[in-house]
Amino acid sequence: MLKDLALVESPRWHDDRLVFSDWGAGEIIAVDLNGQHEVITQIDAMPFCLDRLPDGRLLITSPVIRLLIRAHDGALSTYADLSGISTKPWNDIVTDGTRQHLCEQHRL
Amino acid sequence: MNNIGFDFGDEEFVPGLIALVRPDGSAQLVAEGLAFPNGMAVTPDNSTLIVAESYGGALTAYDIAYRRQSHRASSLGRSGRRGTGRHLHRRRRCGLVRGGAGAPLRSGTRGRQRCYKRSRQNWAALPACLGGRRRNHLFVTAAAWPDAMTPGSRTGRDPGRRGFSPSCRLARIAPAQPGIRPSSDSLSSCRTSSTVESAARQDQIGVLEFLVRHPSSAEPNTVQ
Repeated sequence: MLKDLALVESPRWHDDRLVFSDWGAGEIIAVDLNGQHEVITQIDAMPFCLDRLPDGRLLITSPVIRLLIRAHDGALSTYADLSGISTKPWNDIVTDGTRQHLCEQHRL
Repeated sequence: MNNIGFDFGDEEFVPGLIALVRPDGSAQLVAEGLAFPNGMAVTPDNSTLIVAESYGGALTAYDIAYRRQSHRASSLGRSGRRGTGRHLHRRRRCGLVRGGAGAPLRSGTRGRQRCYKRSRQNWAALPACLGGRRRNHLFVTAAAWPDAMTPGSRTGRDPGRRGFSPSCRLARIAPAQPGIRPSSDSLSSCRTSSTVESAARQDQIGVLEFLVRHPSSAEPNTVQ
């Protein structure tokens, strides 16, 4: 589907596209089944992983001690301050509830 | 969310943790002592969190309601050589898949594993997930290994990518249909279409997680 990516993490299927982070490029990219792709957010930090809230908004574990949320208009803001738990790099993130929603949607 | 507990590449290993973030943004420590927590998944019934411990070579399951560790390692597919991995990796959801460079990807649950694809030598599968409208396409990231995790190790690297070489590819493994083949050559020789179809069916059952291991600890390339 795509070549010459740097370091891909966090692939998630959402809204008919695969959304993933490219740590090396500092980009969150969305690609459809035909390979049409676009950069939807740029992140100047490493690492950064992502998942969706049930309403579709993107949560991003970056930079380091904050959890970011991307609004539908693309604006990033802080969703949670994690400095009280650890100041080391946060890695993967998973939200619950979304899979159940998908299973119902696709009658799995 | 998980935290590996140390600055990768700059500090000695320290066990990591898992935190819970609620809808109001409050965060709470819920688990400690994980050996490089990495890819995570929640089962479709929201009852269980599965975490890949990359340095532990294990998938560990937690009961979400009671925040207790319910299963570890053997029941979910331990990869062996606990604590010896230096570049053990990854990740992610909707099926248990393991394999290093040249080793097979596998899907399965609790002792029942199925090999359905073998990666090209020196290419390792990294994170993967299922998608598509019927969620029966498997998306797999493949990278030249271990170069992908070693900035500056290859010539022709792109300084705009923080020293990482552009060596990562994204492949799609289509569901079993006549004439449809994997859309990238980064993974080769899909075993049979029927095994891919089986993998998709297993996802509909729903439990699982991807874990990919370093080739030094890879099991023999045999179907289990």
